[in-house]
Amino acid sequence: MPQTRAVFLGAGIHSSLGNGVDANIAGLKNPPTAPLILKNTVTNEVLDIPYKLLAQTSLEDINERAYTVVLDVIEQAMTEAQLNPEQRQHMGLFIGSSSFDISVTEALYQQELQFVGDDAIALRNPSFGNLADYLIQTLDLHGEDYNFNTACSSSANALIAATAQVEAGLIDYALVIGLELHNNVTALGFHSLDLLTSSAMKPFDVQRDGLVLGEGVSALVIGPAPDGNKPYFYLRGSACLSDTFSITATNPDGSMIYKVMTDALADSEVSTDNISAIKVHGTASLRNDESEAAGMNQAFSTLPSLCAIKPFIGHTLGACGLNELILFYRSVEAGFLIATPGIGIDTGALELQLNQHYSAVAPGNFMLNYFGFGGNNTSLIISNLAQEDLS
Amino acid sequence: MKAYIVATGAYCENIDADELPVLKPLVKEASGRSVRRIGRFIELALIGAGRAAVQKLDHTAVYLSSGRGDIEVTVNVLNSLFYQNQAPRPQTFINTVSNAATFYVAQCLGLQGASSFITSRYFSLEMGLKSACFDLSRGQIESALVGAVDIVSLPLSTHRQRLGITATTPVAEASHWLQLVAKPDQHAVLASVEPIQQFPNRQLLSTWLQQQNFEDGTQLANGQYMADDEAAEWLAETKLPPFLYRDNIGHFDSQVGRALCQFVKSDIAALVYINRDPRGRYTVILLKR
Repeated sequence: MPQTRAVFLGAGIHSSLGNGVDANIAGLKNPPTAPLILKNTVTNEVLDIPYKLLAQTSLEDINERAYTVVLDVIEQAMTEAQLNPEQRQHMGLFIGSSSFDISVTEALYQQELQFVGDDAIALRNPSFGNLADYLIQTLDLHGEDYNFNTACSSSANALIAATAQVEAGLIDYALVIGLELHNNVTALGFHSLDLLTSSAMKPFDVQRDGLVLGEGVSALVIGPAPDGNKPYFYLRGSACLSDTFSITATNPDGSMIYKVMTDALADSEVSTDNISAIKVHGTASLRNDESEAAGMNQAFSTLPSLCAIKPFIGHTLGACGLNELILFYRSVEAGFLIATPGIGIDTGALELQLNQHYSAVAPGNFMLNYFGFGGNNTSLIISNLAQEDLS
Repeated sequence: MKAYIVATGAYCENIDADELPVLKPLVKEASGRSVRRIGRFIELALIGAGRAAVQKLDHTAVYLSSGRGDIEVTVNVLNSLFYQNQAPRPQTFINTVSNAATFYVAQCLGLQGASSFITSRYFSLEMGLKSACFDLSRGQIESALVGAVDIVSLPLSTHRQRLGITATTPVAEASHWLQLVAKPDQHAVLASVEPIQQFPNRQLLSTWLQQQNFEDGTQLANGQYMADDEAAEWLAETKLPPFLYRDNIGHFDSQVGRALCQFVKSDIAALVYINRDPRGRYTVILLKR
């Protein structure tokens, strides 16, 4: 056990449920709503793309939108964490995203095509570090920055790295960011892969037929707990492993999902009996949900409550690690376990059921799972148990 | 945060014509396999990683960095969408995720540890290397393959504009990899990576350098983002001879990889590598025999 726990000091989030933690938690108390169906006209045909877009933010001013939203959620997290200017300046910056600023790149290329035609250059000054570089300048940050691009596990992996650095004493505080915004590369890429639903996102349900893309930007400040008795959440343990079965899907026998979950449990020194609930990855694709169910059923003789968050905010891809973590732990702090009434009751041969009722939840250990393209599987164990209750 | 280099793998070639060298034979030679439906970025990753992975360690973790990422596949997708008005092909879209390259490295080399694509705008490989060394030192992993890949996309004139370099700047493709272990006792160690330092300003770096007692034969390599006059000032301040690693190689974004691999091949006692970004932050890598 580390000498200093890196606890979750402050969070900010903007998703389809709303802007700010409170708005999001309020949104989670209602059943998931149907996605918007965006009419994408980039190709030679009109394509229906189901999307959960950011609440109260239009798809305009794309050149500025990403920066405006991310600065806003950072401010939410910073305000809640109550760091002083010097602490802010020396934080480490850890960003996880699938797409980073590709929405801006797309917009600039489209504008250039309009003005100079064939002389337009796609992808000017590309780097996954551009967003971090902007934040370093704008917020006058002096610490190191790390940018993770490991598909759907990106921001979960960013959190793991940030936590390790704080707990080792390399940095005092870390700012972790997850970011996923609407872009055509992602929308039409998932359309090409035939992974989008024609209705709503129903993980593990016999009626599941694919995912809904989602926008979501979140920020989490972690660091040592201030004096006081508040029971903070923290990352108790984790594991990240490569599954080389297929670049798009985990091994359907569940073996690699079983392995990453059991490694995370071992890293946390927690037994399956002491996991109060699991936040599933749940992409609602036929094959990936089968693999995930198989892995969970191998790891747990009796499954705890299972919560799915993607029906509420869509699949926010590389940002889902942090978006779903914040929504999950803040709903527990708000006194309820996330439920998806009507979704995942009948799961057929998958032998599990998603939580259907907004039940109260005691302090405990919780598992959060993320499985991404490229075989990047990550499992987190978070806890809000007080130090004396850890054994 | 100390780690030990047990192997290196490098590929670095100037691209001076609007034709790119064929990489498939080199991929097969380095990784032992022919891999279909991959682009140059993944091919370069396989060449460098395959050459570095001379010791087969099953639970090796992969840390890949890149200054600019897979330009080729991303440009293809953007052109497909906005120029040809067509949705990307499924395989092309999948390869836009940067960890597609780490997937193929892990699959071809039979690795089952963690894999990550980690970068930073001006310290791409530096941050990947620091992450790997940190994970090794805290016992999270036992060995790591750490690399940086930078590709060229044609035409060259567009590539230069894309990167914001002058029309006459030579360009190169590169893939530089290090195989690291946490414990040196069971391996033939080529060099050690001392704890990687970062400084938020010049003054703190200067103070740190004054506190060091570099052994005889240590050389100083200045990073690619440092202006020539500042590089000369660090040489004067440290009184260390320069380590010349760029030779006649053209521009690519992760030149630190070349410096580290060249040092390991040399007979120099120790290397101090200093890079800075335009925000005035510095990173220092110290390698010793």
